[in-house]
Amino acid sequence: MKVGYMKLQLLLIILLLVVTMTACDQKAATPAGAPGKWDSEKIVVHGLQEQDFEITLGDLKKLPAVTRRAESTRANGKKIKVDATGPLLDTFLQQYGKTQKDFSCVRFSAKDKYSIAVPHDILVNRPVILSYINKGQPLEDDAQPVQVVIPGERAMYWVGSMNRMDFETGDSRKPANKVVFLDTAARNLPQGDYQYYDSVDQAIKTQDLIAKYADINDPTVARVFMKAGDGLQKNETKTNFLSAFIKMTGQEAPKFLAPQLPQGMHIKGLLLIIYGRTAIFNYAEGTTCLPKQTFEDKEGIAFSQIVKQIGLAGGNRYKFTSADGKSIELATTDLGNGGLIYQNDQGAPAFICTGPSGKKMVDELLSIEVLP
Amino acid sequence: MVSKKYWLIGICLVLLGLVAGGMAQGVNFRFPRYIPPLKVVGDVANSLTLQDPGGVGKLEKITFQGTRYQAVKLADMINAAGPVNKAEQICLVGLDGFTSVIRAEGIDDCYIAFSAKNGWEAVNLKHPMSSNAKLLNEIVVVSDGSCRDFAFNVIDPDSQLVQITPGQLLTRPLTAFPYPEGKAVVENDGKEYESQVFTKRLVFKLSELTAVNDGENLLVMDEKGNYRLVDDGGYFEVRDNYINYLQPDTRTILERVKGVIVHPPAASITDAYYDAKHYLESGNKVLMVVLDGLTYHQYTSAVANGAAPFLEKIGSATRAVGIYPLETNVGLAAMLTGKTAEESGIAAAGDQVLKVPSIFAEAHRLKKQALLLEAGPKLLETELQPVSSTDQNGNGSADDELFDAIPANLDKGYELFMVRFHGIHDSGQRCGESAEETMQAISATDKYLAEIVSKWPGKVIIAGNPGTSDQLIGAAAKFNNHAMFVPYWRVK
Repeated sequence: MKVGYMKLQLLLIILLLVVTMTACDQKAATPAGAPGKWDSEKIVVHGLQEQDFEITLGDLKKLPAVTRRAESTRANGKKIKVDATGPLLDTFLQQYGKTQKDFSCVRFSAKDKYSIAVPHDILVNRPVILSYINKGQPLEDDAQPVQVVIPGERAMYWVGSMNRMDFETGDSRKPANKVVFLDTAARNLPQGDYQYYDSVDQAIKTQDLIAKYADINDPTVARVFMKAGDGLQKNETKTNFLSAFIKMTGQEAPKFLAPQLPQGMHIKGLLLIIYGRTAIFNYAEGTTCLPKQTFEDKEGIAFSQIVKQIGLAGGNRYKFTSADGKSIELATTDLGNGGLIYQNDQGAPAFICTGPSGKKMVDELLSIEVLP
Repeated sequence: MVSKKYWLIGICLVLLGLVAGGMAQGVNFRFPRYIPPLKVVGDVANSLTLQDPGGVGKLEKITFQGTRYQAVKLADMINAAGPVNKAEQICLVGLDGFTSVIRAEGIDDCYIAFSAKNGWEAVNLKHPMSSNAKLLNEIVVVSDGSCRDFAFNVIDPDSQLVQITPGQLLTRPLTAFPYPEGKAVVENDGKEYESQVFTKRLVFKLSELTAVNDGENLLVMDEKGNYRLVDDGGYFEVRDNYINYLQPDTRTILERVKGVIVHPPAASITDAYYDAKHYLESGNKVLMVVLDGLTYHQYTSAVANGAAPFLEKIGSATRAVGIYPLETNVGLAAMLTGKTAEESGIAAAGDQVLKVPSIFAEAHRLKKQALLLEAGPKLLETELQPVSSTDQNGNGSADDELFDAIPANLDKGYELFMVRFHGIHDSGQRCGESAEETMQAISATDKYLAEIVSKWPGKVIIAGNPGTSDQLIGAAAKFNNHAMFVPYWRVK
């Protein structure tokens, strides 16, 4: 009886040891935001501000984190299951007044030079987690500093050891290299009556506008980007866009609209249209929402502001063309103070700058083209 | 001494077991057992993906032509997937495309077995041998098509053009379309290596089902109330037991499409918001009247029957597109915010809290006084507390009490005055959209409208609010040309 009791005691001790060893083997869960040795690892951010900048993993850890369970399959069939903890990409973007939906794609690059562009439809439909903890533990060294996790998407999008984010707006096409001023262009286009509630306003056809001032047959154009002065941004299909009008007078002008389009698709206070490589910019609307600048006795919008709004392709020379077809070519060094777009006495946009070669002016400004 | 001997034997056995286990692991490692997936798709509530022969139903031992099988009954598999309405055909599809189609009734002697040699295999004891397809990868359940709520619907304002189920579509010719998923790039030794990834999708063009002109606008709606106005450049994908819309050029994807409207009218019930906002901004007083349950079809019937003289007198209504799902609160939210269910945050019967500002917020911004009087329970949380009328006289409708409450408020200086009647909805639900009782409810509402509109000194917007059709509401309601369109008026 005594021997049996001793055996039982021995068995219990062994069991206790086994349980203790197992428990010791399990690491304590790492809380979100806890400091770690990779906190100073840098991630380059491109496309959010005028110039690239760097953030660290430590910066990301300061943001509110979420934990999401997700599963994905690699190309070799291997399943990956994660409990990913980290800030949402939207939380990160919130600091810059942006959301995922604002971008046509976001390219994530890894330290091993792997990269993938996450397209707009995924950005619109899926949360993106900038994960630094998996299943309660810091990431493996080869995934540091951040593992991108997009629940519901293929593993090819789950970029580990992510060290660069490129945010792209508009489409993945080349940036615009020409800006046409709607205020001037509309004067040279046929305008028709447009019944708008109780008033009859004047409107131009978008088809006429694009046929005259852009490449209407550009095969790369599937969608047309539009932005309003109040910040509203929309992409419209080429077909819908080309079947519509821009109401140039009356309430809420300039307004993108069409009798066959629901009112929810109309855009009031139209500031910008990007059709392929041509941007259409409305100066008058710009004065309501963009910072103003004064040059000599003229108040207007800095040329650099318009370049920024449009995301105009970089260049060393620009061609400024007026409504009568006359043009001047200026190198960036000729712009001196940078140049100002202002409204002339006839209410049309005009351009002025003073550089090393003296004062240059273009009245009734129709377009500015970036020269190669 | 004996005890020690047993201990030694025990230890040896454990070691032997460990060695044997390790060897078995090694064998498994070298020869992993892989069972290809078998999917049960089509007209089923839940599509299944099986990788375990005993995963669904009980494995039975059967013998067929001298071969013994462990197999599961086909009927058990189908039942596990939940056939929608009455299953008519079962298609047994092999990896090489070989397909045998059997009738869904009389499958008691049909089995599905798995073997290393033939993969998933149909063992039909009483059917012709040709039905015993091997290397199966899909079982498609095809219903008789009578389940309209499950179907993919194509309508135009006047008619139902197509009603077809995912199962029926899977038996038609479909195109295997390589849908671009993304392009990964990696740089090695200064050179970039790319990998373009595609997924093969089974798609069809709408023009394969019904006549659609090139470049024609289509309004595609999903079951959650998202919608896209697109052209015929996109594809419809048949995925398991539902339909998606894909536009590869713009990477637009709309999942679980409920229906498509061909030649959609430009007017929508969301116009109520934009019109009211325009009038308020223009300095007009606005009366908005919402008629829950009134469809365009009912309106035309009522006018034809002389049941709505006032509505006839104020001129033809514009036919406006409603919002899916067909719930009263979803439609009301669309009218108050100008947004679809996806954006307003009101996408189901229980939803109450708006995600975006309503017309009442606009009125507040413009410093205009607003009032919402409504019959029936409060449906939404807005910036304005509504005043609700209840059925105090027990006549089955609170519309008469609501009407009585209106005159006292008309001259209180409100610049946005909104009234929501609910009687037509109640009658439609109770008796049917074309029933005499429902026509009487329309007639009663018509009289109320004549009275209120004559006393209102500003602009008037009247809109039907979809939400009733043959006693079905919400996601169960039919996506058809009767339910999806409502009458809409801008008066004065």
